[in-house]
Amino acid sequence: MNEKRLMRMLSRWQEQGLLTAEQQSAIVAHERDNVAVGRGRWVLYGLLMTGGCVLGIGIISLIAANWRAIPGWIKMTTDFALLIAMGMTLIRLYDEKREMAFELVSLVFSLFCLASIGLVVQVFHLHLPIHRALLLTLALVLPVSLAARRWFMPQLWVVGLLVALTLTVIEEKTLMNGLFGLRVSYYTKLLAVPLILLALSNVTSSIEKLHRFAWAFTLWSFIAGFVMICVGDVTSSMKDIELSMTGLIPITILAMIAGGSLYLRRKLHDKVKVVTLILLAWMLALVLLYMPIRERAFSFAIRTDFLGAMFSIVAFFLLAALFVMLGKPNCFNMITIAITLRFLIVYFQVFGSLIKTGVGLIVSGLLIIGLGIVWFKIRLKLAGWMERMLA
Amino acid sequence: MKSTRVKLAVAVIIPILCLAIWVGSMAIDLHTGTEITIPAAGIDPRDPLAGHYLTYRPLYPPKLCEVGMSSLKPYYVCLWEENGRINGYSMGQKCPASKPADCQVVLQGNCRGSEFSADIERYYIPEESAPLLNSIMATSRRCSIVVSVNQKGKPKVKDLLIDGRSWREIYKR
Repeated sequence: MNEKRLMRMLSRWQEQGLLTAEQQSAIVAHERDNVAVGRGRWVLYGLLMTGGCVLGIGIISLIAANWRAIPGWIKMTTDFALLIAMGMTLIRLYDEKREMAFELVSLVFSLFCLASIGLVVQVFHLHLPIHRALLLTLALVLPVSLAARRWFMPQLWVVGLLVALTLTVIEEKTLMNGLFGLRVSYYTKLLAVPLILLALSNVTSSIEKLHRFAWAFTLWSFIAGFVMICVGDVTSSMKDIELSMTGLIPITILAMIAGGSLYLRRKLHDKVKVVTLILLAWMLALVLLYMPIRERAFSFAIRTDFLGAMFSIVAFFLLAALFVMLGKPNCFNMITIAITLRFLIVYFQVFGSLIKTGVGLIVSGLLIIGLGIVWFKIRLKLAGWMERMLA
Repeated sequence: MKSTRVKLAVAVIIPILCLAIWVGSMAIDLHTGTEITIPAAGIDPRDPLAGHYLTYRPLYPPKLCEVGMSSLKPYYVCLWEENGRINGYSMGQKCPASKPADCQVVLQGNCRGSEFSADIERYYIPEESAPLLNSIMATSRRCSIVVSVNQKGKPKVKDLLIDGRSWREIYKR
């Protein structure tokens, strides 16, 4: 907690007779010690993890140099010797309960596994794309990541999975065409990524020991979902969506799995689940909404430019409602800013030519200032209104 | 505490063991497989973060694949060397129980469109050798790859030949 705020609150409680002066001083001293120790640990943890990442990248680039003077079998033997040494160090550190050192060696060990795969690829001249190498590494280091006692390793693992899944969707064209059909937009295919993360977040949240993974999956499924709303908006605004019914089937099944797995989250309020399901349905609806337009050649009947705006604004409102229910005011504020910005983009979509004139720029500037003030004034009211509506 | 230690030991051993099995099986394949030299064209040096490597197009016999074949399923071809050229015919999507007498190797790959590919289109070279090798390749002549093929038809690239000699020999000179 902010020290000034704490002092203000303590003074108020003392004035109201809830605390004595001694108690107030004791609380302040206790909090100062805690903050100093906690901040120090955070800085150390941050530095250790950054150093570990840099060290791991250094090992990968050293291996990438593929030194001619060293035969392949010596490279492989040295690699395995280092892996075994790191593994043994990990076990020792776990016994000695040295958490931060354990986390650091876990990180370097995991990155070294990726580097080892790179070395195998080089020595045996394999054609292994980066996403497959990443997926293989993630599978290999999952047990070590599960043993992590802090948040960094689970976060890194989930980010790795997010990158690997995204690259798989983009790179595995044969597999994707087989699954989704030939004429399917990237929006439909990439929608699989947040849906998989959401399903995994629901599954891991039902297992007590995997709570760090559950948190990481939830965070990144929200971020991936937010990015997909933007992708859906851009692709439909650019009339770049090409669809087929075959593409809809796998993504609908995946959405049903992600939605169905919400029931594993016993602690989550039913209303949160309902809003999440509506959001999932809405993200699929973009695919359905666009289909008759393309297939029956109605593209001139409605302005498809605003389909993207309508889609993203509704989706952002649903996300905002979720954040209100989950008690995340900062995330709610961020989403309301996104809604405001999208309204601004609609204005530029309609009156784009006005920007070229002086009057147009004045009007646009006033509109930006006005929207900023409106956002600032109504954000709390909107949060309150949503809270009452969803209570 | 003891059970947690055992679990952690297993967590550490799993990646090392998997990598060791992978490397071991590939080393066995490389040394026990049947060798075949396949001419290559379209040599293209690449320099990504993954390391320096050359990409090329192995010159397989024509018409190994029919248009419309699924690229997800493996495809087998019979290959043999004859007077410095490579000959062969397609064997379909089922792995033959035994190698036909006329085949030097049965190679497993995929049909991508009408093109056959066995994922052997890459050869890694050391960083310090890359500039010289690139200049040799630019002025060169006949290139081919030595491939070791195991009993299941899976290939591993063993060497890169320039005018019939290993690139290492040329580099040493």
